[in-house]
Amino acid sequence: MKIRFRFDRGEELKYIGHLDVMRLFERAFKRAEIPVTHSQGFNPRPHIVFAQPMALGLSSEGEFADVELDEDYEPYDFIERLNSALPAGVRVTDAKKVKNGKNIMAIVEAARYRIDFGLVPEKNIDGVISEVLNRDRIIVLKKTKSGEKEFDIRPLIYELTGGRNGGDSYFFNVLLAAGQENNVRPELFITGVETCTNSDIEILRMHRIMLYGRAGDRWLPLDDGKFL
Amino acid sequence: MRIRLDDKILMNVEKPARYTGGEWNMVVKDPENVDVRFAFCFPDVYEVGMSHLGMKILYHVLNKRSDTYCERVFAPWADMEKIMRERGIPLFALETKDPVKEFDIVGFTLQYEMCYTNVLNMLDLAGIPLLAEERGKNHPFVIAGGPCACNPEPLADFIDFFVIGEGEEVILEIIDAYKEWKNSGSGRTEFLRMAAKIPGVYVPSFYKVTYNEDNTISGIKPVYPGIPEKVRKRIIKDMDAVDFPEDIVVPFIGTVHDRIMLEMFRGCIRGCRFCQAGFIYRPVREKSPGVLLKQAKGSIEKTGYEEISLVSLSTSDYSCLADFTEELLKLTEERKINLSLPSLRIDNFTIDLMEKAQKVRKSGLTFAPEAGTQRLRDVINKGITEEDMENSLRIAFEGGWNNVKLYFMVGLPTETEEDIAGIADLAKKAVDIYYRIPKEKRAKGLNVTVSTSCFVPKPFTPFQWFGQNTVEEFHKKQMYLKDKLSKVSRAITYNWHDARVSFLEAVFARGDRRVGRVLLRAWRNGCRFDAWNEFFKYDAWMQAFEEEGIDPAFYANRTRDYGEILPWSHIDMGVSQKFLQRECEKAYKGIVTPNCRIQCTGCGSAVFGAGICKTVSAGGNTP
Ligand code: SF4
Repeated sequence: MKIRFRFDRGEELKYIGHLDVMRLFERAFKRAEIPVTHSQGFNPRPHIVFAQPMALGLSSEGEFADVELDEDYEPYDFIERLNSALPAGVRVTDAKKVKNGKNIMAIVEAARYRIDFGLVPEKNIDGVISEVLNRDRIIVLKKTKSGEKEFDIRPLIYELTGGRNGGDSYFFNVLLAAGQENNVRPELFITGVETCTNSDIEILRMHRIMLYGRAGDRWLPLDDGKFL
Repeated sequence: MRIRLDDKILMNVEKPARYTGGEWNMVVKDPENVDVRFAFCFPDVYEVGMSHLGMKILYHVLNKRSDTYCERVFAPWADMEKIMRERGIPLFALETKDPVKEFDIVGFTLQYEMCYTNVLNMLDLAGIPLLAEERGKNHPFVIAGGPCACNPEPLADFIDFFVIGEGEEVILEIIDAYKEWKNSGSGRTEFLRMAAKIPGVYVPSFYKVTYNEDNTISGIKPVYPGIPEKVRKRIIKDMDAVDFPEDIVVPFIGTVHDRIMLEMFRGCIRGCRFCQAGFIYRPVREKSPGVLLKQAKGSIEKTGYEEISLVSLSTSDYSCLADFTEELLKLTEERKINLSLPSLRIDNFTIDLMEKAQKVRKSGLTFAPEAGTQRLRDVINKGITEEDMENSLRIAFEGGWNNVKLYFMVGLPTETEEDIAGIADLAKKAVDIYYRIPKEKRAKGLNVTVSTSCFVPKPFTPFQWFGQNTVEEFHKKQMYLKDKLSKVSRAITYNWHDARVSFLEAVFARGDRRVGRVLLRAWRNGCRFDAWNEFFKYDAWMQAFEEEGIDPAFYANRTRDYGEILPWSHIDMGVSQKFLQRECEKAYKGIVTPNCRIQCTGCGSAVFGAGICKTVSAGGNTP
């Protein structure tokens, strides 16, 4: 059977990369004695698929994954067992059984982030936002396998709002393309903002709020009943 | 004061999870509720330290006590050290992030000589005076143990006291003594006096070393009455009864050995004459299969690890290997866990075992003939023949392996050009054996890696008196071999160790108290992480020797007389000097010594009344 679950990762666990997160879950499943289905062959791999890789430095409350199990579990039981085997900083918050539908990786098309940052004194946040939104193109350099490439991220910034936290700290709430097809990491978005405003921006904190799929012409969060 | 680490620090260093703690099974206690806070320091980076079984054992043993909180401390990598120094962040422990300086006892484990500058660097980062004599009332006690403590002298000025031998029991006695001392309110020296009464504890400041005019030692004597003339190592008599951790800390990031390590036995029956571990961990004490299986099962359940590895100096020598591995395989197969079997002699049985255990992951096999000719293998008492080796190689190639590593040492006592050429001959033999196997029966793409390390004479081995080859001699030998091997086959890759590192290793393995000054100077000259290529600064080291007026060759390259008082002569590891001398003589004559199971040769370790010495009959020579 397949279970889709949502989890979050707090501040204390955000300093590990995607591969470490995967290994963390594999070991947690073993400790919880929840039998994950393994691939056949010489080097069996557990069938766990994460909706979107988690970069180092990112906290989140909207992560999702699918896992294939050898036995039947009630979602409630699944959540409780798995949480008892997870270290502080990761928590499973929701789960449901899914029939063989679309692969979770293929569903994700966008991600919402909250980015806290420090702004150069003479800029104001509303000005910065309109500066970004009024652009037709925002060209940034993106690292690829064969060096660096120019890349227009403007069409991949779907929504942008922001405000002041108090003091010299500000925040963006931004919906960016995410997934297998197009992906803009929050750092790359900030680089784009820097190009638009000709300033240096210091990132203080990056937090993923939610992953999104599409329903017709609407963005639909993955915790919507359609997905979870 | 707790250290706060935020994004500004952690997002600017490599692998920030080295510094954040919070791993599965990390012990959480309220420091307010314990009597003793113990900082267990590993003088290398997190990934190396977290791979070390001894640390896991002592962490567990100490934390089982409700009156003690043991936390882990590792050496910060250079990027982190820089930030810590810039911002005045002191060395802190992973569990609570409290500064190490606030702990009661700061314990270092000494696994290799090249970590010594890291010990100094960590003390300095902690804000603890480097010299023991400069520490006062409010400073922690700095203690050290581990295999390198069998010659503690190079660190004598920096460490309050050493623990000689295995730590599980003696560490508890030290904690008890510490609590008693703390309640008594008496001075620092009083605690050292109490500690010195515990068997296995060596307080260097209680001993005076005097020297002859030629710089050799004229005497090592206790300065107070009641201090033992010789400090005898501690051992665990009953391996089944001693605590072994099943709920080990599971790191988030990859470490060198990221798996369950199941310790099968301590010690080694073989007595290879170059191998320090083989002598200092005597006698062999095995765990019974039932206990091992129980511990394997518990570890799997409590960690979730996908791999389990058997730990010992020589897996093949475990007395019930066949039955035990059969049971263990049942356990691991059912749970989809890999079993890794290092230190196995290669024969049909073990090939079969490896295939079952690893599900035919033919990653590569390792052979350690150590020397290129039978004559030299007899000198070092490496109990394998040319024929054994040929058989093993053939079995391996027939079994589908095509990637073999051959380990050797250069600079062994009595070595000649012929012995070095013998290494090339052996590599050639490996290649020939492979090509003699019919094409359809062997895997394509042969790869033979020949690695040579530089022999380092170590205390408590029969070669402890032997003068190491000079760096130039090593270099010549390496180049000679490189040339020979390049003519054999393109399938051979040759790797060799940096002789300059081995030279320093020899200085600190066999050094006396005076080399401590060089250590301090080298650290001030910027040396740290000397075991890491990218950090090793040979010139800074040589400068330190020069500045201190100490000749490294005196310690490394000089062959010593049997009569000379060695810097570690007041340490008793069980094996007698007489036995070592006898073994040394036999080595020079190329006479082999049978292993403990065939015949006891009276090495002296029977004094512990444990393990194999109780079951074998005392043969021939007694000490
Ligand atoms: S006393 Fe005999 S059996 Fe015991 S370790 Fe020494 S040689 Fe081996």
